[in-house]
Amino acid sequence: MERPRRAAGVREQRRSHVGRLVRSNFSAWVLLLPSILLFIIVMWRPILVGIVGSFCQMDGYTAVGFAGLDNYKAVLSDTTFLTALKNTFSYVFWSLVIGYLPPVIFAVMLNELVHWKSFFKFSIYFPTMVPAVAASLIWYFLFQPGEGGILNMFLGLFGLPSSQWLQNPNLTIPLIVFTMAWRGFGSSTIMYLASLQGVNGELYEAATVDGAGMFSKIRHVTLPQISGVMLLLFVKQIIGVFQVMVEPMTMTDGGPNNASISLNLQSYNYAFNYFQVDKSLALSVVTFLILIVLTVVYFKLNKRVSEN
Amino acid sequence: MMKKVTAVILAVCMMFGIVGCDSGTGTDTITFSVGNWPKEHDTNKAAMERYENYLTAFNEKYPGYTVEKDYWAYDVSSFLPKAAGGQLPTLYNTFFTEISKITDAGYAKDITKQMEEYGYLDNMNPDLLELVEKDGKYYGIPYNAYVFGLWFNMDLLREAGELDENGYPNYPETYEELAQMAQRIKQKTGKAGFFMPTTKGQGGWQFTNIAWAFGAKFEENVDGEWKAVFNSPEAVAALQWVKDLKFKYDVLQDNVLVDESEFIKLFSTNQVAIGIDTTMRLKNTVSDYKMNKDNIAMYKMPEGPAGRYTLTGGNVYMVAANATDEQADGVFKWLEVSGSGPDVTEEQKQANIERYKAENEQGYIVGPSAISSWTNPERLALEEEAKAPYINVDMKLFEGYNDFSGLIIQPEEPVCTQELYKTLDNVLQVALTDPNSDPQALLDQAVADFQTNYLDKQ
Repeated sequence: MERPRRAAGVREQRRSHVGRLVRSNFSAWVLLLPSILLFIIVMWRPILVGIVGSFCQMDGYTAVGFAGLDNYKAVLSDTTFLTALKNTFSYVFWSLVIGYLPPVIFAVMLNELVHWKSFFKFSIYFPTMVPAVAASLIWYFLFQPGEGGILNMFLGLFGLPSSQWLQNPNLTIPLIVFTMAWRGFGSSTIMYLASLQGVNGELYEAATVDGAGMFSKIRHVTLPQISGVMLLLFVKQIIGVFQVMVEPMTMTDGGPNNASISLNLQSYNYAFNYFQVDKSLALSVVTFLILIVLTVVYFKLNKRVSEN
Repeated sequence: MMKKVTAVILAVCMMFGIVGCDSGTGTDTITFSVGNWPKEHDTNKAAMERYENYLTAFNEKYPGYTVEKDYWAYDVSSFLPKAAGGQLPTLYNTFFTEISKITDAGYAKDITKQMEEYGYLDNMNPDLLELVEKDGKYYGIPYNAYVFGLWFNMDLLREAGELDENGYPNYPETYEELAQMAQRIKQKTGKAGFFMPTTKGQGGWQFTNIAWAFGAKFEENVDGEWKAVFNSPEAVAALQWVKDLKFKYDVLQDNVLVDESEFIKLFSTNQVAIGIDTTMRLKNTVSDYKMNKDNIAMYKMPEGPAGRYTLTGGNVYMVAANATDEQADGVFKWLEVSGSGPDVTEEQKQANIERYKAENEQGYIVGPSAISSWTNPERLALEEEAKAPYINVDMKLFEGYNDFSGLIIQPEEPVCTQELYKTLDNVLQVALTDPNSDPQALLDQAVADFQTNYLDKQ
């Protein structure tokens, strides 16, 4: 009898604590209420409805019956699923190779500049202002295969053979990632730059006194100081690139032969090309779960590294 | 206390500020909306004026109805959210390729009663009506139908010396002749002789037509179960023909990961000489790329070993599933006033005259058409009479396309059509980018995938 009574006591204590918290900041809570409601309606409700929908048989967006795990079985047994999964990881891998470190390097260089700083900041940020579809189309024209393609004409000037660019299944994903990195480069650089400008100058002075060279300063002062932002952008990049869809859709439609199809593009195909919303939701939930696992694993690893 | 009351008031204000309010006004009339209404900023001013004229005539004749203009036009990515949210226009139009998806999802109203009452079932082409029928009920009005044909760019044909002494093309009659003609054009002009799309399902869409002509079948119902059968020697021969266009004849456009819109662009700008398309997209060459309308010729699809097959397509009107019977009645009255009804009346004739006149004034191509939706000879004559004064192209350039002799008109494959097209897109992408690809192996794999992923789950 002792244990239930203690549990009830804890619950009551918690309730009164929550009550006290609300009463003591009543005005703040009331002002926060619209935002909380909107957050629930706009963010959480669609996620929950999506998860519930993935277990239903649907006609359009209307659930007409409980399907259990049928949608998941259908999606996971689709021969395109494994290709899309592999490709999505490939997008993430190439995005880390091509797009993760250059913004850090450029931010460090920008931070050291004395003249023309604003001009370079604007130039670097400019591609970010180009909408995703427009950027994809610009690169789509540059990557035209055949001798009339702009990049192929450049290759021709040096006597090099024309490339198939996006039509080459081995190049498709790296090239799409390159266009994404080109577009996202500016905002990451500006974030790193902001972080760098917050680094205490005395740390560099102290390092100089201790005889540190440029690379030692970067390694022992700069990187530890901006590691928080680097971690944030690392996770953000994985989550963002894992949801890639617009770029392959506009540039290759997932081709050639699904060489660039991603999980989200396959999900789009289910929903809008085949009108199979239930399967689309199931695939989205699978993607969501993979992302949660990746994020948790990353934070756990990072915590262990920090502790050591 | 005052502080708390102020906070509550502020919160309520914020909620209303964000959510906003809309107080609808009630009327006694029956309101319905008409989709695809020409936009005011549209270059097509004539179409806008024409719709305004229809509206004036409708309001005079049927004061009990209120028509709302809806500028939304069918689009794959916005249809589903609009339909699910009950936001579709009462009357909307779409393509034949979308009919089964929409009726299966329950987003079209059963309009059998109105189709019967207003005379559509008695006067419409039964083959077309079959496309909108499901379990004995009708879900749409197939008002515009066409078949696939070949487009020819006259400038490039002239440059390549492919015109006869009267200035008309020497049309290819077989697939082999088509490939050879495309090759001659490529060699003499340096421009692509033929266009083949491979994305957005459009490669598969066109490939089915080519493969039928080679004798291929795609889906067969065996004891109530659907089987994928497009890895036959005939289908392989068809795929080999397409592959040869790239690697033997070298006549295709450089980029093969493209869809029909790229064809319209390349064709209109004299970058491609021949391609497969329909009359429906002809106006895009003029409106989007200012192509000279006299620079286009059309001919029927070539003959293959199994015959001269052509795929039928077209536009269909549908009524939103949440429409009431009264609204559906309003829609049918609207169709009558706007010239899409089955009756032979002066009003119908006038509406058709206005349509062709407006298209002519816009510089669009008026003349070529394909399959008529009507079987009633008087209704057919009405349309032809309305069009005759406004024909603005040399109809001899479209004579072969309008001649249906020897053509086998085939509807789309019956099951998982979009999925089939997507599967075939993948096959074509490999066949046209990898010179070492094996058509038989590609189709074997595609058949296995299509069977497992789609047909077995039916």
